[in-house]
Amino acid sequence: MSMVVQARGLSKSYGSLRALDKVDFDIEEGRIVGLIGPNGAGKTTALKAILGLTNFEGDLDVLGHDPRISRRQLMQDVCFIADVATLPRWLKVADAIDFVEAVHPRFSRERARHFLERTKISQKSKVGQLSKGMVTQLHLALIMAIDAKLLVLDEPTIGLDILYRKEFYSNLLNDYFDEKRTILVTTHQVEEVEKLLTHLMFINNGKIVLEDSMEGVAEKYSEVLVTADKVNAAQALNPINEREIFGKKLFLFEGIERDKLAALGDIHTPSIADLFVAKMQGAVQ
Amino acid sequence: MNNAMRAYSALGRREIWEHKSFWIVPAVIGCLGILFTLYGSGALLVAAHQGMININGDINITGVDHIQVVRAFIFGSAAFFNTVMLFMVWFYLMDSLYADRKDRSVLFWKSMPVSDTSTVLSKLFTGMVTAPALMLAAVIVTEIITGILFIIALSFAGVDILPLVFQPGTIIVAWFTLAFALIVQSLWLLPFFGWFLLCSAWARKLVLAWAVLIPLGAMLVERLFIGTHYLSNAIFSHLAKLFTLVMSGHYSVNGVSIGPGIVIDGKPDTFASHGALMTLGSLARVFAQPEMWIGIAIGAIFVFGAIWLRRNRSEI
Repeated sequence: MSMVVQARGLSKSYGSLRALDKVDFDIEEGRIVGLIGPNGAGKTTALKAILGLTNFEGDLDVLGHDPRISRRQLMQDVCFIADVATLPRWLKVADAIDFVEAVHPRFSRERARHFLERTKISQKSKVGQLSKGMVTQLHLALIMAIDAKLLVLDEPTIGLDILYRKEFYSNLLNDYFDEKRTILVTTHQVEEVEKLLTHLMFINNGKIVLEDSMEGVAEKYSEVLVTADKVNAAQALNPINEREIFGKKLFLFEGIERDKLAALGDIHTPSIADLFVAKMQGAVQ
Repeated sequence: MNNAMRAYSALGRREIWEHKSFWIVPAVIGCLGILFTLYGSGALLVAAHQGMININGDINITGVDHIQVVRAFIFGSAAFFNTVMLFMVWFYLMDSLYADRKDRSVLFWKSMPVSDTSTVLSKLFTGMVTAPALMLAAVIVTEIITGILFIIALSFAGVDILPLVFQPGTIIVAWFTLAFALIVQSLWLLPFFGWFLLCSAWARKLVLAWAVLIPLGAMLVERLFIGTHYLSNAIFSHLAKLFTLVMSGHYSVNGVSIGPGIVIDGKPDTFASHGALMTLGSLARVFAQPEMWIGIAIGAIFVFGAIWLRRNRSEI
């Protein structure tokens, strides 16, 4: 396993605001990492630092490059889609393909054409004439035709309808991802990426509050639906979150063995969204 | 074509995809010029047909060097194209590093393995070379067509100017001179071009206002607090010299304006004389002017500033 991203003491301030506060994290090859955090938590700053779009303090190694210095070389191995519709409206589809082919040594025109054939996008159209969903399809086709090592997605499906959103991720998974590639994705729609991710990273107030594999999360965190008579026993085990559901209490435990919890009620692995809420509330308290 | 050349050519074509006006506007001006010439020629033909023009014997154009007339035609008809092109380039440069930040497509361009230096230089190259080249192509085509129309119309009117004006050597040299003049013009204007790029990379909005107000404010401060006006003199005289020095072939030695190497009665030629048209030699002498190199140096600093901003500003 080789390391794709390695951050040590990564910091970035905007005036008095610490967007990233001495953050350490690693991203290994072949992972799909979800970077989840509330607005203003430092997600976009972290992505920008990785992509060489912002200055920062600390050490950051992306595929052997310092993104501050060698963005051009880095971009041969890294692709990114930053929310929808960053393709300029005046660009013709055929010209977009010509341009990327000319500047990107790892772009394959055949692959791009192959992906576009599955859509209704005409090569003669301009980006401005396409629907939002189609622009995303086009952008994804261009990016998937690049043989890159790291793909960074920043809220890639925001503002898209459900059909395009589903298709976006299924295309990525079926036609693009393999063990040699790495994907880093931030999104607010966690449910969508839940089944996709291999690893999870929570960020809040410029700090990483959780960094684990999905298996690790399933092992460490358990959600138990507890009947009223066992609430006290459950509370004694220091749940990190509790809420009421259908007259029963739902507790979220961290680092408690499932054997101990089995007596309290039904055990599930928490959804990312529930885990996220619990972790963020914990941080506030 | 190797990979780097392919990438640079794509960067160049990308600018023209976005700014089609660089070829559409010269083409439209050329078509209008041809239409006016057609109308003029038609009027001439009608007049000749109705006997309103009556020419007996040979026409003698005296006192005018017909070669100068040919050159004046070639340079003169390019002047309007050039004025429009310069305005387009100025607005283009002010927009070039701003528009993609405004519509966020900068995130797409920056996701490509293209350095910020290449990006900024591709915009500068488009303004300094591509736009003038497209304009020159339109000028040449227009001049060939209008020239032929004139000659035909005049011949129907009984005036055969073909032997006088058909001077392939002169015409081709004049076109080369025009091409050279456009390069000299771009270099002469580099401080302005660089400034516009810098403002374009820097401003969060209203690029034009910043590009104009900052120098204006600096001039005002100089005048009010220091009492001098070196800055305004430098800027306006640099602009004015584009016409006197580059386009008319005049240059100045110790404050005396000198024509393209023509000396009359031991004194330098005056602006009004026929020597006032630029030549390859007069253009080459612009490079001997320190002001040319000072301007290029200042322009280069602005361009470096634009590249630095493009690379280092984290907010879009």
